[in-house]
Amino acid sequence: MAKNTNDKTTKGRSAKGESQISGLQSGKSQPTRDEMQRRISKLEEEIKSLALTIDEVEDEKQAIREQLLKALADYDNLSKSIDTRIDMRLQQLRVDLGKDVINVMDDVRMAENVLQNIELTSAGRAWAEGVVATLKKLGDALAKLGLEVIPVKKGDKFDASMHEAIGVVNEGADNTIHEIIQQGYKSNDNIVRPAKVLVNKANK
Amino acid sequence: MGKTIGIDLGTTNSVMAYMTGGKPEVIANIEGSRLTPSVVAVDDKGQILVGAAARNQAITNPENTIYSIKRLIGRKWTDKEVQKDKKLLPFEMRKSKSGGVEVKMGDKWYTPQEISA
Repeated sequence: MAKNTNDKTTKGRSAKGESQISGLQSGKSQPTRDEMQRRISKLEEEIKSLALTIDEVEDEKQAIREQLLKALADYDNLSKSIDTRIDMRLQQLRVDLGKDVINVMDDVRMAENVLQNIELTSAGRAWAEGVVATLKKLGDALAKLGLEVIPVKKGDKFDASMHEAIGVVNEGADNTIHEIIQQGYKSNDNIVRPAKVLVNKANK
Repeated sequence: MGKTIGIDLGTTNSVMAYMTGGKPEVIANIEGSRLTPSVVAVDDKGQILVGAAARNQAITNPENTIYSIKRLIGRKWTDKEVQKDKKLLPFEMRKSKSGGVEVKMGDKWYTPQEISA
């Protein structure tokens, strides 16, 4: 029995020894120092490579973040710019339409002036005055479009930003309004059409 | 990066525009107008007027209101066109040191390029 046990042990030891020997012979079972060193070097390189990749990813992330912030800022600026341009276009449309109405109002005023000096039957005069009164309501449209008459009266100081001199008269205080020939209009402090006036100019 | 503007410096009116979204956008001036008369003047207080304000007072101040100045840019004093314009334009003109043209506005003399600027 002992012999058997011994045989077994011997056999086991022998088997183990053979395995070691065979392992030594093939280099698979126990890594040598060199192999360990190689494995460590390889792992170190992998770690370095991964670290570089992480750095690249972080850089890319930062770049994308900056692009996103810039894009958001650009969008904000674009949004504000569009709002401003829409407001400007609307204002321009109001002014353009207002100019057409102003021209009609000029003709209505001239018609009203002429009406004072022509002979008509009472029915004819009533009709004409009714037509003029109806057309004068167009003046309400100007207010809705944001246009208003430039306030100017005889004797006011001539102001080139609001008045257009179409003639000069040698009387009255120098550089004052002698007569208003045509009303001017403004919209939000922008001059749509200056008032056409005659200006007093002292002889030099 | 700043925007580039294009200027149409016309004899009678000037226009400015910039490109945006691939299309030209005209710039309105301080009075809200997209056209600016090519007129410059100096009033009796010595204030420089440009555009509509200069044009509006032209009749009251013809000697100091400069218009159609583009016609004189690049010309010599002896050009037939310059001598013809000298008879028609209300402001004073003279020959410059280089043989070109100078115009008087207020009590100073200017070249056509300076007026246009």
